Amino acid sequence: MDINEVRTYAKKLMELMMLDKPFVAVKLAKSEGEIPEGYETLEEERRHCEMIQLARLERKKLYATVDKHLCKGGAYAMGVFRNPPEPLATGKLYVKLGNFKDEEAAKKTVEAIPKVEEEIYATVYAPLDETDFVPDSIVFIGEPLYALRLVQAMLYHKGGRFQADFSGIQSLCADAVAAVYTRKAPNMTLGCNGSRKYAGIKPEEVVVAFPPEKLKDIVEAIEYFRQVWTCGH
Amino acid sequence: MVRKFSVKGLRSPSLLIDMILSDAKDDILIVETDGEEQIKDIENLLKKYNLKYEVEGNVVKIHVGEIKADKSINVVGATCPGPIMMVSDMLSKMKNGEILEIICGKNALTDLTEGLKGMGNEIISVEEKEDGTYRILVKKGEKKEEEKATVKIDELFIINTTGTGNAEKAYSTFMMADVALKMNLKPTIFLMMDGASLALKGECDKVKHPAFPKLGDLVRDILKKGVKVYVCELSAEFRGINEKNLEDGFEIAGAPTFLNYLSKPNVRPVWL
Repeated sequence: MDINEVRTYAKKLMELMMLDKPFVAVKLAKSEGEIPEGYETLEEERRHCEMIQLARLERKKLYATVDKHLCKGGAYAMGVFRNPPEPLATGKLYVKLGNFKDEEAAKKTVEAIPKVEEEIYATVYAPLDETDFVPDSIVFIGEPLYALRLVQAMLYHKGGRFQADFSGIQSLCADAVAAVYTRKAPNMTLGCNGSRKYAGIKPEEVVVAFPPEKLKDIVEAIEYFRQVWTCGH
Repeated sequence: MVRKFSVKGLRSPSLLIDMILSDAKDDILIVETDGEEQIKDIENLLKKYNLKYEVEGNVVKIHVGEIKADKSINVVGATCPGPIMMVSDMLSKMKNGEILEIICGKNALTDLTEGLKGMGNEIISVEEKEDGTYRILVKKGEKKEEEKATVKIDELFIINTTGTGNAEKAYSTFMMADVALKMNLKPTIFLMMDGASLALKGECDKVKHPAFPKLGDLVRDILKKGVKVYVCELSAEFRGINEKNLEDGFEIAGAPTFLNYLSKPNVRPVWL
């Protein structure tokens, strides 16, 4: 799928689902050369989930190298931040933050979090309908009814069951990007304390992410659903 | 395409893998699991689809279709260190993540798999072909810098360079391996220079000290316990030893295997 196709499908999907905010295209760039021309980097550090929201709510096109990632846990999950300090790698940090009763529970969770093994130079963000790159993950943030339609659309052609995989930490980074990138499969997640507090993911919003290979099938399915059901409210 | 991912913590990993398989064509999926329960769940699914897979520890490797290599090299007939040099040269011109197909003879198999792993590459699959050669698929990677940390020594690399010329050292080689096993240290034996003389079929049975069992019996016992015994390819060739007159259970290997063991931080070499 090329960039123009991605943009076309993105526009069509927004139209079909009657969305006023775009899906977000996220790319894990392995080198500086993979960052499209004209993409800006931020002056100050921000969290990955905040950068997704900048692309979604303000239609910004941007990228962030390791020094611009404020949330090192997220950057670590996506392969941007290497050799993390011990409290992050072992999960001790999350015990301190109050997520887990003890180190054992934290370790079990941290070990299971999807992680990108390759070294990633930067994360790149754009509204999907205006993207200048083919994304590694397409992120949707919105109400559960829209998430339901997306999940139904992903199962429309081939059936099966959808398995959401999340743990309440490292949500938009590990669950919505690293998991999709490594598995080339969709995922759904409910955000984490960071993304709820700092990125402004609303209480009534959930997150669905999927690889670009699913885009065509989703559009076709939603197009069909529109004929037989009411999509949205 | 090779996809490496984890399903740790998932109650039904087969659901996720089923979805991934619905889009997979010519892929190898390397799935890291929690262990037995998840592996069983995945195996049931793979049996349903009649897919080829291997289980190595907690990792399930699933083969879907025929994976396409980016480049191919045939090193059949080349002897140590030829194969690893030719393959390294080819890999140096490839990008990280690309896949190289290597066709090699049995003599180079261990050297290539061990040597390439030591260089940071990933061995995706090894299969024996009908003509007796081997097809290795390797994904190019790069050696990661080891973090400075205390490393536990849990392997012994016992190198014998004296062979039948020094019976005491020959006995020590195999007895030490046995002791190492009892101490939960994984032993590997490498016979080089004169040490290669022990690899000639029947030679160990000629070594017998009145106070000890026949050396050949010790050797067979050690092999039965799963200890690898490598023989340097060039040292073997020097002494006219080849696959036909090689002691049963011994494997011919070369400099890459030798150096790979010596460069592992958890391995302590013992020279005899």
